[in-house]
Amino acid sequence: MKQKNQVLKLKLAGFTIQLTFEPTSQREYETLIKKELQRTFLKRGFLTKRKKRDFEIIFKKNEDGLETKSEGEKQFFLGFEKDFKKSKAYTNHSIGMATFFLLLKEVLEHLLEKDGLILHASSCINRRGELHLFIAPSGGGKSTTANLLAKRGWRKVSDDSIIVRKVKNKWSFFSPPNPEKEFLPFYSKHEGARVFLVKKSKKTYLKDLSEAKALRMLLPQIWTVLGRIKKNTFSNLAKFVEENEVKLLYSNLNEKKIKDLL
Amino acid sequence: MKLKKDLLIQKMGKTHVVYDNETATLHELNETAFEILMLIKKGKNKSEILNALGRKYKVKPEQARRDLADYFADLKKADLIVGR
Repeated sequence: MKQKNQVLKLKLAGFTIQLTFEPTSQREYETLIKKELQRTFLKRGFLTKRKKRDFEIIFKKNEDGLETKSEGEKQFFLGFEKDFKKSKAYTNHSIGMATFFLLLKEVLEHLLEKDGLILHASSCINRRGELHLFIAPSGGGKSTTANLLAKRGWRKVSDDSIIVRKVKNKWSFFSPPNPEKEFLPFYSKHEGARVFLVKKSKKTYLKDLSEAKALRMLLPQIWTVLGRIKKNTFSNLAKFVEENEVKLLYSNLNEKKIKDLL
Repeated sequence: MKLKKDLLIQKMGKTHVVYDNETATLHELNETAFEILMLIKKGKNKSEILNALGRKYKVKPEQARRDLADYFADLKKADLIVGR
């Protein structure tokens, strides 16, 4: 009897991504990857039974083993292949989780071209349910700021990235699906946020920013596959800066002072 | 004369910005510099740009020529345009 494809659906930032598993004789790999994906997404609220599908990732049966590509004497293992025109990507059952999450991020970057982007940001919610984004380059104090506030009763939403979209004329913020350092985000969506660019300093205070300066400081904090910003993504960020207040948070990383200021 | 490749141009409220993907640099332009850039993008040559701006700003031709030369020099220095 011919085996059917099995399907999992993920809800990511309002998109539905279908994972289709072609049956394979590589049963161990097939079982391992499905179990791992179900385990990592189910308890964090990222699985869905929605009928719609914005993108499909197909785990091909690949009976001949891993796909490789040669360039002269070099040989490359192909972890995945993307066909964005058809809203599909192809991988196989032996893909590692780190590679899978990278593929997922690339798919998200593609889907977000129409109305959003991914920002390097830590984020947390205060007791009133207000989302706060802390944006800074690596080592700039964003995770530390979020962790300090979490010690004071705030709830952490993300450690390293946040997904931003303008949906139905409102700016919405979504937790990322991937593990971030020691943090596992749960699925969440928030409408509106207070946005802060963080700079380490001897004193803790806030400073207003012009739109152009905010744009200049936010540009390096957009997550991109190849390090180049696409035209629509740039336009989305410009709109985001125009329509949201972005402040500079000078921080001496004193948890009480930061909390009192915010 | 043409725009450098991989520039992203955007109007933001009263400001005009241009992002150079190659150097990861953001430039702020005034309205006139932005207009010149957009005319270059449309493939207009120096005379056509001079005429278009002269009509809009109603300045004497010699003044317009000098001002335009300054703008071209600035845009070239900022590495936003290439060629002559």
